[in-house]
Amino acid sequence: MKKWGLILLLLVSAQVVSAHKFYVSLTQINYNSKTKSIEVTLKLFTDDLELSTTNFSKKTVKIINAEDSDVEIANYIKDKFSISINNKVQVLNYLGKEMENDVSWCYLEIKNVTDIQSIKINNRIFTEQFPDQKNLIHLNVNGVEESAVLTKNTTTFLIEL
Amino acid sequence: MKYKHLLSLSSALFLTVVCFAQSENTNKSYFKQLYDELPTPNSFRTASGYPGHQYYQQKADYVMDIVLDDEKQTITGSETVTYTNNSPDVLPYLWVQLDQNMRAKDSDTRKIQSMSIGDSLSFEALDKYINPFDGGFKLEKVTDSRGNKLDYTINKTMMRIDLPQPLKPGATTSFKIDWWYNINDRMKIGGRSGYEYFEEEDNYLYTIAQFFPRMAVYNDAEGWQNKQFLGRGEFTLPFGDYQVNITVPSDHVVAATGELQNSSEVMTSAQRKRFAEARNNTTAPVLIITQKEAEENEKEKAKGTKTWKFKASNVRDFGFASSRKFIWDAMAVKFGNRTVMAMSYYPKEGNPLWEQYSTRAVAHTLRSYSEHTFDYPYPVAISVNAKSIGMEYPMICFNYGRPEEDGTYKERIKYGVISVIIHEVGHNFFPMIVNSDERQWTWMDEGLNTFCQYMAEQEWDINYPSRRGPAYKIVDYMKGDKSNISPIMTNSESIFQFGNNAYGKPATALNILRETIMGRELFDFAFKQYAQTWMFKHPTPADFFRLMEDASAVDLDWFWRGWFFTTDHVDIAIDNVQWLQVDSRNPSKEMAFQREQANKDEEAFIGTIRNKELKPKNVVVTDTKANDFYNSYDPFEPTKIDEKAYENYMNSLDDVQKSTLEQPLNLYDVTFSTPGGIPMPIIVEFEFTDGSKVKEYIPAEVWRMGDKTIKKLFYFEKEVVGLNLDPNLETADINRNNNYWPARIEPSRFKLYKEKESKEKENPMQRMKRAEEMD
Repeated sequence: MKKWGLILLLLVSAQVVSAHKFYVSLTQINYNSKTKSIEVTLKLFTDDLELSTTNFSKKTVKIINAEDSDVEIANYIKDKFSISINNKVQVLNYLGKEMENDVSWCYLEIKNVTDIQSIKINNRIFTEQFPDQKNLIHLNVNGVEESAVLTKNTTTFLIEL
Repeated sequence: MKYKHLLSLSSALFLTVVCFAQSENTNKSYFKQLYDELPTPNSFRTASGYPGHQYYQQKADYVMDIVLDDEKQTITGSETVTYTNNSPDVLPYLWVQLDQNMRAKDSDTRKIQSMSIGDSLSFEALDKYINPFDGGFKLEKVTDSRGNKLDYTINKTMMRIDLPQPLKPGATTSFKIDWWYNINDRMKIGGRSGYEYFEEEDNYLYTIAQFFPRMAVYNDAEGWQNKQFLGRGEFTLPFGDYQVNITVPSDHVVAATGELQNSSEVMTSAQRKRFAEARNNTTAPVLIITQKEAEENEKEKAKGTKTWKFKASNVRDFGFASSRKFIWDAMAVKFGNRTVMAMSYYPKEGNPLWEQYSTRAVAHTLRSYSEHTFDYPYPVAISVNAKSIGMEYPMICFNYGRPEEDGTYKERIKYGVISVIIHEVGHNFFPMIVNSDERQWTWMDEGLNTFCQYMAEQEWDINYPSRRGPAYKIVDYMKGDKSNISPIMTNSESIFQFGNNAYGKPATALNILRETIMGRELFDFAFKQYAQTWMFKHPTPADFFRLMEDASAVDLDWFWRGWFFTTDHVDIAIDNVQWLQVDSRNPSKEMAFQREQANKDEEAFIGTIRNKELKPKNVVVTDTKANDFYNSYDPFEPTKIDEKAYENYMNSLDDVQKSTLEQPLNLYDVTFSTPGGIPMPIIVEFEFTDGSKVKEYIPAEVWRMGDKTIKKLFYFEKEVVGLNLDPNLETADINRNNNYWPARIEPSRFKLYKEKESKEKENPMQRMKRAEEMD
């Protein structure tokens, strides 16, 4: 499997047209004051997710619409993605995923969040596979909207409210 | 719109106003005309976006003998280039592109690549770093047509040939280059071109391109386009005629740019018979080499070689593919009396997907694109199966997509195959024929092609899962962190988020022009005019911007500025809605209304409600002597004076005015704002009490004065219950939460998922199964 990582790594420099060749993920984080929960939506390229979960779980993961790969995806995301509120790491609850064209939407939730003074996001998704990976964060908490781009070298983003 | 309109009175006045409105003394309006951004029109390129009366382009013809060595994976070539200087300039030297040098050990591509070891580095990666691939051209000789050595200097991927005599306008010169290079393993080193190795039967599949020293473009816009090839900014090439002889192992099958000249020498009589059948079949692909025959052919290696001879006219490049693994099918596409061959070459690993879809997708692309631009002018269009890439050359392209080993495949692989074929075959139109400068502007071919790809996909199936095109699909990109977004008008090498920037956003922008700003009729005419005008020529961005305006009478400078020159986004909001009715002056109606309005606040006040119980004990109730005229006077009770005044007023009106006054009329004073920046049309839908709806369209020029908020008055007979801004998601508005009145919050994707989750605990297959059990 190491070999596969290498092939993709080199494709970054070789440039291949049309097939997706830029390494970007998008994470939307909203605070829902009604349900007192942090809602996390991750938009990931399905082929990147397959490759990363396969390498991480050490077994072949094929993502199709059924729920079969959810355990591997949840384990992977929880290892590479975390949220701290008021300096305390929170328990992320993986809800499930949806597929759309070549992307997977993954949904996670943190329950019982009341007083948010600071929120810290750590995102290392796919950076172990792709040195050029960029993880975009859009955050909306109590009307405060912020955006950030996280990379292999900058993996955390802190907002004081 | 263009230079010729500069001094029109309205724009002159407008510039003055905006200057005063800005805090700094410069014009920052989106509606400022693009004089600073676009080059000055001249006799080569006009202000209307057309080639000028002195437009010229150079010509480069090639005669080449190529030998592919399947043992050593090398390619050797001997080429004669005949270059014609159609420019009015004397050229002391010529620039030739050596793209293969990007793979040389000392290439800039390697040097500018940022690399660190990070957490871990594989042995292969380390090995590659320490023992890099020995790529790049090895030049054997560079001579004039009589065999005399020519002076030349190599600067990385560019070679300058110093001519003994400067090349005069209208003159032609010929030179010869002999070269060879090691072919890269595409699966290990990557690349648009190279080979794929099939370990199982020890076979190679070659997809070969930018494989010969190629002339650079010299023109009025860039001089010599000799910007180095770093890997991302693709190719800029002049048109010319090609005669190419390709020598390969005798059991190889070759697909190439152009028409095969010696079919009787390289094809069997059975294959030629099937090819003739395919030429007459416009409905389905005909197999020229079957899977069984290909499987038989790939088992053993023949000794000896064969030479395949190709000719291509008026092309900007030449590519080919060669393997003993190829299955080959073809069908005819008719343009009037002309027959174009749509063909596919693929190994058995591509089936069953490729036999069903590849050639059909090629034929569909030719028909669809021709409808929107010009009839496909070349004699063939070929799709070759090549693992994990999509790459285009004239008449031939290399496309990914293979099923699983058991022959099944995922839906996204199926649509991936069809999409990549549409996209790469579509590149024949942009940039192979409408020959823009790829080294400078990726969007000019990728953006226009992705736009046409979207139309072709929707013409294939209206349920086609198109990735790019619809306005709402670009929203996530455009609302992102601006430090990671570049304007579309950015050089190919410096673009952040390549796919969104150069493919998605320009394709979306054209879709918005077509659906919303210009409308299909005006847009389609202008777009076709652009394609036909610049067919077999070299357009620049300014030519595209200007011609789209010239052919439609729509001033799009503000649109090009917002969408192509900035990273701003669209966000339009409804700030406020005020409901007004006409004052009929009828005292019995209006005075009652006035009373209602006058007392409204007082009656609603909590004290007024609670104090009602005080009324029986009020002094004015218990002691009637405390009352006077004003205690019983009702200023809102109509008197004879009011009625007389109304009568006089009505008598003063003519019949038309009377009926206007009498019809029911609801006026809505709506305040809109643009927190986002890019001006866009205001498209607002009114819903009435009876459930019916009406859509109003206000052109983007409503924002021309640079206002942050504007007010518009709407009138209806019916009463409005709600407003919805951009109900059909056509403007790429990034925030829909401020698009409603009364205010409404759009459910987030997360919320929609949770709602669905609570309803569905089974997948579609399980649900279908349960439904069947209920029968």
